[in-house]
Amino acid sequence: MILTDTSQTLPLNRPAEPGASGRQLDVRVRLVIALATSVAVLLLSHPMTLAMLSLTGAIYMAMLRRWRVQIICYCVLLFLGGLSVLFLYILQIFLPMMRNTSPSAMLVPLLRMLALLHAVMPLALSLKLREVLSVMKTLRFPRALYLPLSVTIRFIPGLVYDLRQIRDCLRLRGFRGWALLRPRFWLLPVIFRCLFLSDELAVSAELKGVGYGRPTHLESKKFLRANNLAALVALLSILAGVLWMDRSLPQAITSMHTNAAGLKSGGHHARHGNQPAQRKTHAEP
Amino acid sequence: MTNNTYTIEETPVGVQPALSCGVKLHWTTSELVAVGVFAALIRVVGLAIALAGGGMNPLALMLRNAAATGLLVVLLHKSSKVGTLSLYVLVYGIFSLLLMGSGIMTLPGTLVSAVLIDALFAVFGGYRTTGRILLAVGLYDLLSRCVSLVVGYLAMRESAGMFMMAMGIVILAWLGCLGGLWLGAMFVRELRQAGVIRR
Repeated sequence: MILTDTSQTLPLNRPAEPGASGRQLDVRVRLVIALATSVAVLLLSHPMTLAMLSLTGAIYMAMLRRWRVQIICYCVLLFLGGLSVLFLYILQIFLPMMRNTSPSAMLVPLLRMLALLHAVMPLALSLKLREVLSVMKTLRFPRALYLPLSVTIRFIPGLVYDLRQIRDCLRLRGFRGWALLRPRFWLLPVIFRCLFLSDELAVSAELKGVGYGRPTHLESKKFLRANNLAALVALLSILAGVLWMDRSLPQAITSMHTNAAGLKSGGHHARHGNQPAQRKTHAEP
Repeated sequence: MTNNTYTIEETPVGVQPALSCGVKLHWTTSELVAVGVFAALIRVVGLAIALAGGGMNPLALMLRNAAATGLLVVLLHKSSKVGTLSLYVLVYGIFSLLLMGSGIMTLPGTLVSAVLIDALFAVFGGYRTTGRILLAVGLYDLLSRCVSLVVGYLAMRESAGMFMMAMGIVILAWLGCLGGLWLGAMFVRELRQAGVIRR
């Protein structure tokens, strides 16, 4: 079967620790959580509400018990935040318009990234290929979607094998060291190999009847169990509460409308419109 | 291809299947596999360039986008049916989501851009020539960058400085895409000389 389960070879797709309750959630629920959070972080702008969303997300991610990955994610986020502050200082040297921007102004975007990280990483960490295919079939995804997706994950080990073959060919031709790193030695051979590999995979899939019959190897799951429903209700309640608490939301929507109107009429409304005080200090130093 | 329509379960081998509503899925298995292969290749090449470039390096950013655009041009030559661009964007977005969890904020915008470009070229005759494919990919890159800027503004509306920085990054990425169009044309020329692409 072309759709071999290679999820064990991908480091990020290792299953969660045994007994982790986050693993029991349905993949559709995790998708809904990720999508709802991504919409919420776009709407929210108050640091406290974003911090609350991030804290809830941290508990959700901790349910997977992948502590090492969670800590690495925080370290990467902190590193990116530090890098942003560094770039801000560098930009302030060259751009006078940015000298009134304080490093604390970066807090809200970082909190947004943190909340999104908490929602999306559990999804990425706990997915298995067989589960995804099963879900796609249950949701009646078309063949045009689930076949490329399956091939996408199956293709990575083949690509690694092809890259090794190209490297060995170059070594046999006498190239060593830095000469091996020339882009022209890699780009076209990789594209050639990928085109041939896609043809081989397509023939293999057609010979094995992928897409032409009803597959029997996929496990089927019920749509929503009680815990999934509970998770969904809890998430929606949290999001509703956070949206209700976010006092700056009406101001943000008003300022978005004002800025859009200002852009249409040459910026007059943007300068004299009803904008939040924080935005004014940043836009007009 | 016959005039009969089949459901997916009833489709005999060798006949392109159709949905039960009668809408034909006009991609062959080979084209669908090519979309998956190129989505994975673009993701892996992007990751490799980002790692080699040491993260937020402008040159690595431009190279990454150039490689992605060039490979997308090759993909559209391999499967030049209208809708391939949208399908690629959808597959790439879901694959990115599965691997790294990234792209969830920009996926709706890029998908809308791809659907718009597909619809535009469906009206004007599809991706028949290399020039049309280059134009379609260039327009898609431009439109998706504009959508990215709007999303970036929504995400960073509190700090104008960060938005300016994001705008600079998006412009750099778009310049890389312009280079990728040239790179894609070169790839296609080589592949055509080798007989891999016959159009």
